[in-house]
Amino acid sequence: MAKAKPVEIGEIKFDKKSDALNFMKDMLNKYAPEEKVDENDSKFLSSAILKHPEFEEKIGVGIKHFFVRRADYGTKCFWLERVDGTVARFSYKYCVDC
Amino acid sequence: MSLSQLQEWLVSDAGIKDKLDGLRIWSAGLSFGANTLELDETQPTHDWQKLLFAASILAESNERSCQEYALMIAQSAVCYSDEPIFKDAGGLVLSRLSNYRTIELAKTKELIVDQLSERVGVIEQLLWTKRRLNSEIPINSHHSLSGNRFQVNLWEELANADWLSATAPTAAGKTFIILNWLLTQFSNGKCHSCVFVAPTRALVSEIEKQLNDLKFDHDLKELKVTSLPLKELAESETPFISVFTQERLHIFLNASKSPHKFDIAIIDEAQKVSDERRGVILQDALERVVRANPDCRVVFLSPHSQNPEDLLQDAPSAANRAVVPSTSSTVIQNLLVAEQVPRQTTQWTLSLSDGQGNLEKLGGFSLLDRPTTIKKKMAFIALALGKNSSGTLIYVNRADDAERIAALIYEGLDSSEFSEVVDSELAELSESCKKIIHPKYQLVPIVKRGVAFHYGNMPSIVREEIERLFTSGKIRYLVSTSTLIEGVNLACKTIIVRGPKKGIGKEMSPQDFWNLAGRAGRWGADFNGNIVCVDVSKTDVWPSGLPQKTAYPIKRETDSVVQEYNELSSYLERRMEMKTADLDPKLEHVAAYLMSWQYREGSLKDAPPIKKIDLESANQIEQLIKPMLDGITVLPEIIDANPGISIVALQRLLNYFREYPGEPEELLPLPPEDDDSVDQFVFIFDVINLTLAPVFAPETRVLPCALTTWDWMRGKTLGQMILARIKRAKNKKNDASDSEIPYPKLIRDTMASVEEIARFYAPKYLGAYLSVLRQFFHEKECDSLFPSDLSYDLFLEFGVSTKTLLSLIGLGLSRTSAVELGDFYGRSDMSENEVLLRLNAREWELHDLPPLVKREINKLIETKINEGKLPRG
Repeated sequence: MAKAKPVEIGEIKFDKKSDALNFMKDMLNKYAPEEKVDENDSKFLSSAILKHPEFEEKIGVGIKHFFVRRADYGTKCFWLERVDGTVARFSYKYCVDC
Repeated sequence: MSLSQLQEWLVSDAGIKDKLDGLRIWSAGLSFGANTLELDETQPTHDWQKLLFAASILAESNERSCQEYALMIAQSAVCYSDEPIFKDAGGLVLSRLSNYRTIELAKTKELIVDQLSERVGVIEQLLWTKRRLNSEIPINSHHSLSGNRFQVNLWEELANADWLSATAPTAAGKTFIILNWLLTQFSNGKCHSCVFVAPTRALVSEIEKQLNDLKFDHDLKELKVTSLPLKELAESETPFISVFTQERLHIFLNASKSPHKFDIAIIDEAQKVSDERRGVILQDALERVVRANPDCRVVFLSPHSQNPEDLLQDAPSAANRAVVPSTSSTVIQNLLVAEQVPRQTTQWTLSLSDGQGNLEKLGGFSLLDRPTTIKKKMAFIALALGKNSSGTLIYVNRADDAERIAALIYEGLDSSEFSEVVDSELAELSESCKKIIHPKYQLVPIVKRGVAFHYGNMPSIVREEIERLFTSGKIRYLVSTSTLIEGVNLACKTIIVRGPKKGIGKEMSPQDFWNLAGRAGRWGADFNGNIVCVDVSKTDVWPSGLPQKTAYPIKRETDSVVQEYNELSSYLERRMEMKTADLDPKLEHVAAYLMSWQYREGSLKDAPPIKKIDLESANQIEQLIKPMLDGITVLPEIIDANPGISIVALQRLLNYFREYPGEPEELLPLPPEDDDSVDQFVFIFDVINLTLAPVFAPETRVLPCALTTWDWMRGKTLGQMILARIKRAKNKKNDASDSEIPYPKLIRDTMASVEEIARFYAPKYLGAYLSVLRQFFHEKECDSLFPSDLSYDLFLEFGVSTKTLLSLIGLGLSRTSAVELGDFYGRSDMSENEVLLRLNAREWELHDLPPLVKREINKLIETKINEGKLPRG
């Protein structure tokens, strides 16, 4: 069996991938749809999104803030609003998996 | 000995109390009709002459207990004495009590021979005439009614008072007098517009119907009586009476630029100012009415309350005030206890309570089978006690209990009595339930044997028909939940209760119990009413034993919360930082009320609940609210228009809009016919949960709420919504077989979500959402993009989204009928007149409509002919 690989996002070190995923899942569930993400969690997400395979596209002209909104089938998802007012959603799973 | 001393002596132990009580027990035993109770072999004899003489003395008293004894003796003599002369004498005592309706009842039952007044001596004839004249209430130049003492008193006080508070139990006939008085105000030209506020939609439609019938007695056939809060009403020149719930009154006041000026406001069930959320909304509505017109006359009605005068505290100082309490009863009410005979589960006894903890056995009765469950117990007791009379009501705590007990009663009724022939009205009701609700709805079979159930979420067309048939006696057994204490004026002969609760899990206060018990005994239809309490000796069923007779204390919810100063102030301290999920609904409503008062007036010092606390606390509250009002930019009229939603919450919503990254149009709801309409409702409900209040939380509930709201607004019939829900349940269980589908529960749940979500929360919060959004569009200078023709609050309140359907409802049809008919109409913008002409062409007779719907349309056409709005013939 392969040994679990530690993951580091921002200032937080996780022993294994699933810990990082659970951490972000809990974070997502803390917010209601349409709620803005607070300062602390935003800092974390800013680091996390850099690991997203399409991070350049997602960030675009620059991030104004993060928020939570509904995605397909009534689920929830992290979104970001760019400084030009456009929005984009991103999956936290991609920030850990790739 | 003075007269009052004599009266006091008569009802004391030294007097003839034992004789009076003996008579009371004996007559209570007979009141169930022959062969219901097994009475003792030895029947007491009564000295009628002496008793009736005592009754004539007691009838002169103003004490409630004396009058009750007088009434009891008179009725017993009329019903159960053998000699015509005693029956006549009983009738005379009734006339002294101004109880002419009971005399009429005795005549119809052939207990008293007609022309009673001519059989008595000359002196008594003169007195009879004098009494009759004194109790006459002249409603117009050619018509008058004979009122009881309370009604006469109320009528006199109404002539002078500007603010009046009347309190009397259900059977005293207060609503009838008030409605007649109101109509005289219109016929005398003293009133141009009136609002009658009733707490439930059921009561609203009942009052609307009564007014529409009574107006012909007053030659007011053209007077508009409506329950639709439309803007056009306020703008028209014609006089009108509007009958609204407090929520609809707010919608109406919001509709025009400045709130409409009413001449008269009548607040029914005024004790409900103490209700948690809706009490504050009611108080706020009334304050708005009085602010718009300080000269508005105000009448409060409440059932038997302790302090009716408190309702007049907010009257302008110059206003004439009057309090009219009722001191007399019109019907004798027996509080009875049913207990099992030890070791014999089918043998039971019935005893009369004297209200002081003593029980006197009346007789025994047997159940048809062993009561192996509590539901069976209730059903079998109802069957045993109701077998010889109509009007048996069984009170239960939950809707599913109501359905199941009704089904047990249905089964217990001797099937040989019910051949193929079913009464035509019962058959029509059954058929209509099949079409309007679902073929598997429990009511479909059981109503055919004259058994039904009744709870709040049923469609009004069905519920009202049940009430009508129960009153007429065709439905003999009715199993009902607490909707009855919430203000449906439904009376019965016998109520059977076991450990009553108010809703689920909430203990019932003694006042509510007596309000419920007050429905036993229909004045003019019964001589007495029976309240049968089951298993009273079990402390887990009746934790406080038999409820003591007490009056309602009237206390505004705002006063109660403000007086809990510490709780309120710590809430206000934390309020700014709170997430909506942490809001306390009880405190939030009052906090909202105080904030908007302070915002509007600049200070709280004149707010009614604040005036009642000490200055220091008042200042503290003001100081706590002050920082929250800094930076408020929501318009004052929006704050006024949304009672119960705080300024802070409204501002949070406005801020959300301002920070919204997309285009403003993306925030608008879509018309229900748009494909993306549901998704948009999901988004809007999420925003409401986040900013205003968590009314559609948790987030997994948002989609079901949005679906219900959407279906309701696009005019789906209840039947279609139930079918859709059943289909979803079947899909979820991978095409489960029919027997696995919990039909009764799915049907009830659909009805409940329509009432709570689509008809209550969605209109209230969507209305607030839209009014703030409109302000935001104005800020963005894109007013023209805001749709002017979509009044979602109105659409939701009535569950339709076209003018044609609204016109049908405006004419007086139920939503059910309007929606059924609407399917056949192509145009969506028809006015009331156009729709009426279309109905009069009678092509609807060819459509396959439920019988109740056809009856409703027929009745409407007939009314409109009487009103002169349609040609006769």
